[in-house]
Amino acid sequence: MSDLYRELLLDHARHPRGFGLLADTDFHSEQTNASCGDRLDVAVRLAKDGCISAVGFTGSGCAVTMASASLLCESLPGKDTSVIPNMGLEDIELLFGAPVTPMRTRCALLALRALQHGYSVWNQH
Amino acid sequence: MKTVYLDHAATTFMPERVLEAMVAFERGGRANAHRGLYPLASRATEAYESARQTVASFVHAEAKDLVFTKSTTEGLNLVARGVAERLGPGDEVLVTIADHHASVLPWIVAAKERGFTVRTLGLDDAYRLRMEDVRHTLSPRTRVIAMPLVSNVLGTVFPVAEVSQLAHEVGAIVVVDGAQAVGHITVDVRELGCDALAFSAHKMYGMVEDASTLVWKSGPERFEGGTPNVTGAIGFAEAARLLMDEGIDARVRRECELTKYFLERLSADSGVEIIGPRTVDERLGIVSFVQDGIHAHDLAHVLGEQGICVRAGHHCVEPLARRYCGSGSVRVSFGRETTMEELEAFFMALEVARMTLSYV
Repeated sequence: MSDLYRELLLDHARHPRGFGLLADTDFHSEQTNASCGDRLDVAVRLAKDGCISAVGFTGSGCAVTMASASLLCESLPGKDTSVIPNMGLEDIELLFGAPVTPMRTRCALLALRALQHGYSVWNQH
Repeated sequence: MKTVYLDHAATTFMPERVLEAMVAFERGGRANAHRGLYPLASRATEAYESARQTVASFVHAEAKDLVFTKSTTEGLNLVARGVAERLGPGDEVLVTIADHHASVLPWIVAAKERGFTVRTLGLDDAYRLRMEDVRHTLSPRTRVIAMPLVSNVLGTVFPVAEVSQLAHEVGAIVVVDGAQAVGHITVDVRELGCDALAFSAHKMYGMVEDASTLVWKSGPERFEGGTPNVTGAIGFAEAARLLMDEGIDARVRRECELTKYFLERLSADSGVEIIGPRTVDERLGIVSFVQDGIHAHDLAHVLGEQGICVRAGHHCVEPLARRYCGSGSVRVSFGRETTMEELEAFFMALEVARMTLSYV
């Protein structure tokens, strides 16, 4: 049994939630993993009360990248946008239920980096 | 869990003999070379210059042309910075799509500053550099060709001697990244005819942080500022002596056998695409591949969990990865201690990784 590639991660990688173009988005950002060229565009739609209504993403990547994006899409709706800038690797590891080794950190954080960059630009405006 | 190291293109393990040579200097011979006037310092200087002579001889070069640098990357940057000073608008530098970033980026950076052009030579369907393409691309504007002697992704040997001949006809110089070649095949700079060759000690069983580059008509004293790494140079020379004692030809034959077997086994697997030639002609024991439906990082990760050490990604040759395999490949590379049993262990682990990761 793999330490990282557990059933939950593999399920999200095989059947990513939130995959596809999201309509009526408020912000989005595309980020690339420099070590392999994987690219994700993560988009967010907000509710009238300012909370996150939906998260979606497009692009391609390894199982760790796709699963982390999928888990963010599943876990963030309903939360306030203020949680976004404070999230980090430990939050992704919590979602995975497994630790991420240093060499996979970029994969695990690609979706979150896109999310945080999109939020940062939107928030400044 | 037994570790099966199949990442020799990244770095190699230091043999005991090399380690002992360095430890002997550290225990009883350490002094700063080229400085002190006492016997201990003289011996350190002699040891350092003797190492330079040995490493230079290893590639059939002259010691006066050999500069010790920190790494191949530093050596290639050194050459690029020096040569680029004389380039400007209208000049061209040719690189190949198989060049390591270390061989390309210094020219791209310099081109932005100085206004010359960097053009890229592609490969044919058999992953070979076509001499016709080189002939058509070369012109009096060409000032430099930067290329590998052996590709760190494809494992193929590049026709440096032929390119050097053509390049010199138009007055261009040839700068060669020899990191994957020196120590693995016989390298003779006189036969290659190149103007600069950079290579690394740690990829031929020496120490990290000490490589060498041959600089065209430039002596080492111009480039080796500060206290030299005498210990690393001693290890470098001992590694060269070890490889000469073992016989490079015998090792090439052995590596060829391993590569042939590996390519045949891997080619027989469904869903595998080998990024590089499937034959062992003009190639070394570096094999990159992609597995349909499984990302290279995932495959290498699960192989790693089973003790199999391989590299995954674009291997610092992003243009080549974009051209042939999208998000990169898994690279397997053999060394002097690689055994057939280790290859069997790799294939068993590969099967487990496929089962773990297979996308339904």
